[in-house]
Amino acid sequence: MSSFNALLEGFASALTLNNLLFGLIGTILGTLVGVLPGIGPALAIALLLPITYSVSPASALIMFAAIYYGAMYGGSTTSILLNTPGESGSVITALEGHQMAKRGRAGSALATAAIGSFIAGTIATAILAFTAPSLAEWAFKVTAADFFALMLIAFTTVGTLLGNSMLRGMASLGVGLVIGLVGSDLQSGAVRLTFGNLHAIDGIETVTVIVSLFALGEALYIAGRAKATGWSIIPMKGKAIMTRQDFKRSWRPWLRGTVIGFPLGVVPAGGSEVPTFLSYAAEKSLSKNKDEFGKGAIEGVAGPEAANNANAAGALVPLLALGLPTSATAAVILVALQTYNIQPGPMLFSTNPEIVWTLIASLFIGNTLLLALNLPLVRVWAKLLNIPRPYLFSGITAFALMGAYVVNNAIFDLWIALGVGVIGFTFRRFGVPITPLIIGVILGPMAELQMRRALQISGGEFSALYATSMSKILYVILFVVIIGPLVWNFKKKLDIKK
Amino acid sequence: MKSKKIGGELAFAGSLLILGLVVLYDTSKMLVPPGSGTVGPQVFPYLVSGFVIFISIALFIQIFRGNLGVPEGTEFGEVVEKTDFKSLAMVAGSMLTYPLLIERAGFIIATSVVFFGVAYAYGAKNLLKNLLISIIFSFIVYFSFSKGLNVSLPAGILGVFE
Repeated sequence: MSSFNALLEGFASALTLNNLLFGLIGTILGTLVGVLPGIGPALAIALLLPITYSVSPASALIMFAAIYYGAMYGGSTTSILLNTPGESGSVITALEGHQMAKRGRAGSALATAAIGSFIAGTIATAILAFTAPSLAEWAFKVTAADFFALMLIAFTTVGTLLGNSMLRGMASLGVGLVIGLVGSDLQSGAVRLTFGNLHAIDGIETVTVIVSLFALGEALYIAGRAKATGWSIIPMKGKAIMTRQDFKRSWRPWLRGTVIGFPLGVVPAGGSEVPTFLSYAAEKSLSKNKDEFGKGAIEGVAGPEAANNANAAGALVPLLALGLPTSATAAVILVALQTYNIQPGPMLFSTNPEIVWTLIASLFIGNTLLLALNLPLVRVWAKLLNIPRPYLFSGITAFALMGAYVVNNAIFDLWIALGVGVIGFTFRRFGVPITPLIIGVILGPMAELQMRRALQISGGEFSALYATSMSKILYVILFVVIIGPLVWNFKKKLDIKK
Repeated sequence: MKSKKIGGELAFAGSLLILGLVVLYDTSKMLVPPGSGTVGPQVFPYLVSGFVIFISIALFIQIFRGNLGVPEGTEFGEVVEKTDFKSLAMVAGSMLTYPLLIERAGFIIATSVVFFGVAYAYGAKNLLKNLLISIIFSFIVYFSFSKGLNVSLPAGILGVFE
């Protein structure tokens, strides 16, 4: 029960009046930014990072946890009240949620999303609290070679599971790995890809890459490639409450969504698309009201929303215990923790246990604050959707540029930001997914470190990379992950020919 | 029409190939400090460059076989076939002023300019209203960050008023 005591201590350090105030501000800002169309959780967190720079670590953590959950909740509000034809993460919630809103049931949809997110988030955070420490302990036995194999799997799954084309996912990953190379090599001091620029020796800031890839890339892409058709906002009528009937139909999907979402966050499955889709499919096949699906079935909102939140908490398990981000959002969190000088990984639980437990307690608190705040305020959030498009994009662009600048107060970072913005435009134009690039930037240097450690021990013998039994198992999994989709596609083609 | 489409795709795969070759060249010319150990700073970049070059060649093959990318959808209406270079250039141009102005003219002016430019490109017709919103936005952001949150932002030429 030592985890439990540690968690209580985490609550004690997180629950001061001052920290609660920061949590409240975080919830409001997170939701505010998350609600804005075109801003997903990863970008929302990245844009709000500068706010946490000047506060103390404990306050920053709780504020940050609140931003995290707030941004996710804000995103679901957008997909329910607004028709979202494109963005992949919110597509599933929009399927049924938007239909419900059209039929005047926006309040129920928003309520089931909020309560479902809360329940799933709380259960998942509790599982996180009790599994992450044992995973971290186990991770001490994991060798450098095993870590390297694990990272190769993360690269491959993130690269292949996102977007329509495996090759394009890999292209995105490759560009990310190159960006991660820039700067001086930490082990030898050799300078790579700086072309004589002194600023580049420190490497390229990950925050800059994330912010400009999402925000500047999107602003350029919409300006150049999308015709304004406007969007239809469903006016919010009544309160965000659920009837008894809604509850009866929602609680099972909430729990099922949690069960589907959490494990798929722990393993590198490339973010929330797969679990939300699976949850939707499960609810559709289990529902007694199958004919309602596609016309606004509440199960289709409750399940995926719960899966989404449980997935996000699940992603924190490998992040905290192994230092391994498995989605764009987890990558942003890693960067955020690093700006507070917290390096996630097995060491964290033994060297800075108070920080881990404050963070986990903060997640509970943030989640609760969100539920208390959001249902009464939902009409205020809905108003945000009325911000005219030109000013929305101006604001996003201005904040992104500011975010890129304030990391180091360096103009060099701004030039990098513009360059990355162009990459973001190009990727969208040619259907190349963005997340693999971010994972490449962050995991690339870590993978190199582990590879060199493993090879150093063996004296340069490459067979050391697959010498342990765990690494052998991981390479088999890697093989299946690469070959599986190819075989599946080939079989589909054969079936079509028949 | 079709050949033009492939042109863009080929340029994309080509830039990827060039990127891989640049990494390869840079790594081969790298000054390796003595005592870098058995596995020096060159091994991983070589692997990365090989990976990028391999992917770019595979992309070329895929493109020639007619397997083209699907442009990303957005939350903001229909994606169009032809790029609107005028709005694109206006947005890109506004962004470009920011690094030039932020330290010379200060945060408030740089932010007002980029805000105004992007809003204009996105179709904010009323210039006076746009200008007012730009300036008010920049002031609010500047004061809430620099005074409220102690994030240091360059005051620039407006610093004399403080």
